Amino acid sequence: MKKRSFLGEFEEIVLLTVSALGDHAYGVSIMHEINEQTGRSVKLNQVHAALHRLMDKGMVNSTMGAPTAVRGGRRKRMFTASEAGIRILQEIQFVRQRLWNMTSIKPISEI
Amino acid sequence: MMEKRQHPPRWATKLLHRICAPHLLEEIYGDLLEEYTYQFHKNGPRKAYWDYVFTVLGFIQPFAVRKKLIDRRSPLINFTMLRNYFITALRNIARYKTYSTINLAGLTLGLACSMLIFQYVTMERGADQFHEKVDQIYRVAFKTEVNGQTAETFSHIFYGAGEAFAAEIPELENFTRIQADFFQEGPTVSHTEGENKQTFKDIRAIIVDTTFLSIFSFPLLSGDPNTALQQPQAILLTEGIAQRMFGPENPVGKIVDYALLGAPQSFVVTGLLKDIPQNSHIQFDVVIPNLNFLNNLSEQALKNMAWGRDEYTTFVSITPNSDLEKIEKIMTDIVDHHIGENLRRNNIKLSTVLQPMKSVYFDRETDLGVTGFGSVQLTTRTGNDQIVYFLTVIGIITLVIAFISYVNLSTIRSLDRAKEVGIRKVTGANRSNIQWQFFFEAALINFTALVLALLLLLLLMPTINAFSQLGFTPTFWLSKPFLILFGGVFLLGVVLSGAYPALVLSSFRPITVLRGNFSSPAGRSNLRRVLIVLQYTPVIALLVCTTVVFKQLNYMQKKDIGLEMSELVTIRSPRLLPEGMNNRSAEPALKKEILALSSVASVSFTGNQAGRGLNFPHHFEVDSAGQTGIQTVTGTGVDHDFADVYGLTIVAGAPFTEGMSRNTGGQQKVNKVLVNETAVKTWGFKRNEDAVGQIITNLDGGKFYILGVLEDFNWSSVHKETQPVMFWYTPTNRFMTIKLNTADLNNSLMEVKSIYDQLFPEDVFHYEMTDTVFKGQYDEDKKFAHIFGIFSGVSILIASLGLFGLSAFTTARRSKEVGIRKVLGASVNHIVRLLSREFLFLVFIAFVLACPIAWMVMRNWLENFAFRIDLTGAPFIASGLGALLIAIITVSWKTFNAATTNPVNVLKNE
Repeated sequence: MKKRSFLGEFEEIVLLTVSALGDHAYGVSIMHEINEQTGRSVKLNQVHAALHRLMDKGMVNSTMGAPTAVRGGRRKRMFTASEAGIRILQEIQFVRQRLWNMTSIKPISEI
Repeated sequence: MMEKRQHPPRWATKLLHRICAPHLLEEIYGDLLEEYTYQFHKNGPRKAYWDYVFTVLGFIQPFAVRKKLIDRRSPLINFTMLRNYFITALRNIARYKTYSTINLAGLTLGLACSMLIFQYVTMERGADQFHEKVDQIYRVAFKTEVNGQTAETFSHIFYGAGEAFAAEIPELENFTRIQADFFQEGPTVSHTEGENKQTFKDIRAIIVDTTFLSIFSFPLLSGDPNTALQQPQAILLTEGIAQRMFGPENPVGKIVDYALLGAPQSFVVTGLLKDIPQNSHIQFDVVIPNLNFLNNLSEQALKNMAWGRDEYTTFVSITPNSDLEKIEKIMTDIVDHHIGENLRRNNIKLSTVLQPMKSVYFDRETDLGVTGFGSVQLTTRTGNDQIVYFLTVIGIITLVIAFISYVNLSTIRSLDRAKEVGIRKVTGANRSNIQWQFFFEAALINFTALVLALLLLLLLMPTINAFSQLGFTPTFWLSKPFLILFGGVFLLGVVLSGAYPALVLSSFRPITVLRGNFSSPAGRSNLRRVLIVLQYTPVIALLVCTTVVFKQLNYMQKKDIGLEMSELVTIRSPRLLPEGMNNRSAEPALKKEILALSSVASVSFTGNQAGRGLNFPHHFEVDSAGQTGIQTVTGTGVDHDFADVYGLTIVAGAPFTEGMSRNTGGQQKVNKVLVNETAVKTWGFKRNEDAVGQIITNLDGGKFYILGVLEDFNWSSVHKETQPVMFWYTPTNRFMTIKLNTADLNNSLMEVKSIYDQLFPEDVFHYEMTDTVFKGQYDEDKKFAHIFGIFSGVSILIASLGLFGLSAFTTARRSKEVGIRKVLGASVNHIVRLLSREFLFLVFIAFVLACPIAWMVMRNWLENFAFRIDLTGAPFIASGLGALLIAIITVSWKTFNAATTNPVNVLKNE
């Protein structure tokens, strides 16, 4: 079995959000998206920490974006999910789906 | 409100800038700002404020704080920069060869010296610590006060004391008595059941209680420590002597004939002891249990001996945490119970002292006793804490001098290095880069010096060991204290020697340094002056001390002590005699044969050797000029040729004559004695003539008839005042001193030996040069002087190296000035003086400072000697001039060079 990294629950959410946001994924946007979608109150430092871990694991790629006025002329680091990141999301989803299929629980949308 | 929007809380921003790794700062700070603005509009300033603060605090975690590898603010883990520092340091070392050599040589010498000294000091301080029970072992000593005045402490105590103490004091776990063998002159014969006989006459034997090995931890290489001393005919050998007796094979079970208590007996080797370490104060070659003679003594004899014979060094082991004062008091009471009456009759107050084993080695006050014909001295090693103390100071001094040299040379080189620093800064180095670079250089030099010092010591170790007899080993370098100390010295050295250049040079501003007319601030040369004085003060003080110590040593060795020993040889009387001969017939026969030799002037039998004490102390109650109390006069038996052989003249009365009777005859049997003039004074006689014919009585009732008075002489070293001595008549004795009248010493010795061998084929000829034995008493002083000499030599060498470096650099700096002066007509002499003046002045100041220090130290030291030189100005002036002369040579080496250079060479390329 090849060596693979595991994702924590929060890391998974951040990674999903990164891929969901497409070209607009950076610290603040990721945080806002997560807060909106999950109803949690996540702080920037948590997001940055998770992104940092994902970078270390090679799940995301990043580039420095253009400077913006609202940031006092500072650039933002833009994130995209890497191939490995996408692959692991797929795997997680696949495993979950299989397990879902084995249960009699109905997804929320069907209730 | 508008301001708040522009500025999230400043302190939090500052905090973020402080903690956040630089490479992450932009994105994180940007995100924070963006979020702040967003919150500010959405939820108001308050929410934005607190969000911002908490998020910043939330960033205090490893990922955000940790710096990236390429961050140039963290050079320690930056291998590229490390390599750069290394290369730069190497280049600098290679480029300034003189400077580097001086630094390295100075540091290496300083380190090597201090390492050696530390090793020695550790060995001395650790003396006797190898005994497992060292904290529990005490030596019992008796302290006497006579008429409440003179106090004396002696460690040779009564035979019965140990047993009596053990019986009544429960805290006393165990005791052992040590007696250096009385009949130590042997001979000792080793053999394997009668085969391969070998005879020895220099065996140091101690006779001990069977508990010896359970109190002391002298490791047994072979044999059982529990039973080795339990048989009366047992003998333990140390490795060295076993090797000499039986070669490499295990000696256990072999036989050694030893003359214990006179009569030769056969002993079976029951154990092999590891060689006794140098730092053990008990030294010996063989151990014999006292069971041997105890078994042979009658009950009455034992009883008489218990509180009659006092030649037993007694060690006790005491339960930890016992009340020592209480035990001492009980011991004193026990002694009082046995001999109190006797003591009181003589006005002697005696108290018992427990001397901790740890302190025994450095104890030079306690009287060890002279019993055993000097054998106590041979089986005891006493350390000298004064030497240890002096050496510690010298070790620190040499190290400090070496470091000062380094710092000093760094300051003078700051101008050369300033340009380098400037360029480095211009090309992008920041201050910490420069600091690291200087520290790295210091570390490299210090480390190299450390390695070189160890190599040097390794190389010199055989020589040092041969000279000092101390058994230094490199394994000590792996011991914890050594590693800690010299690890510390290394770090301290790096910090001390790197700090000045690192802190001062790194602060130069490139624009100032590179503009061209930069000169280092004046204050710095003051520091340099102070450092030179600081360096030379101890060096000159050491020089003065060395001169004084050598003068005193020379004085002692040359001092006319009244005995003429230059042509004397002492041999031991034969003990293994042919059939039909006994001592009484053998000794005169030998003397007669030897006297017949043309190279022999005269021969005398004595009971002791000059320089190894006198065996028999007699105590007298005296009442002489202002001195009342008990005085001890020691003596031994000598024959009628004694005065002649030792070159002594009878100043009053009559000499011994051949075949005379020992005593005055009649009912009283009073021993006839010859005494020295000091003894005459001790007994209170005004003139020598007054003493002649007088009978004096000692405290035990023994009577002596003063037959004649010998001119004053010292039987022992001049550390002590001339002691009162007396000699009674014995036609033969255990030592035979031969006075030769020939320069061909070897040949006449061979003649004596062949007579001896012919007469006593079984015995072994053993001789010692009488004055070598006597001067052996100064061995320690000699060692002390040599140590002083060597280390003061090394320290002046280190200081000179530093001074040489300094003068070389200042001279080089002033080469243009010198050129111009020469063009304007200055003479070579004038220029040399100009360039050297300052250094010599500093050395002179150091001399002025050193004098009072050396004077105090030496005045103190000289108090150890009863006969001592006066502390005159001569050694001070000589040392001062010597130091100045060395400084002049050192400095003028370069200054003379500069002064004789053609000015064209230095002035042409402006």
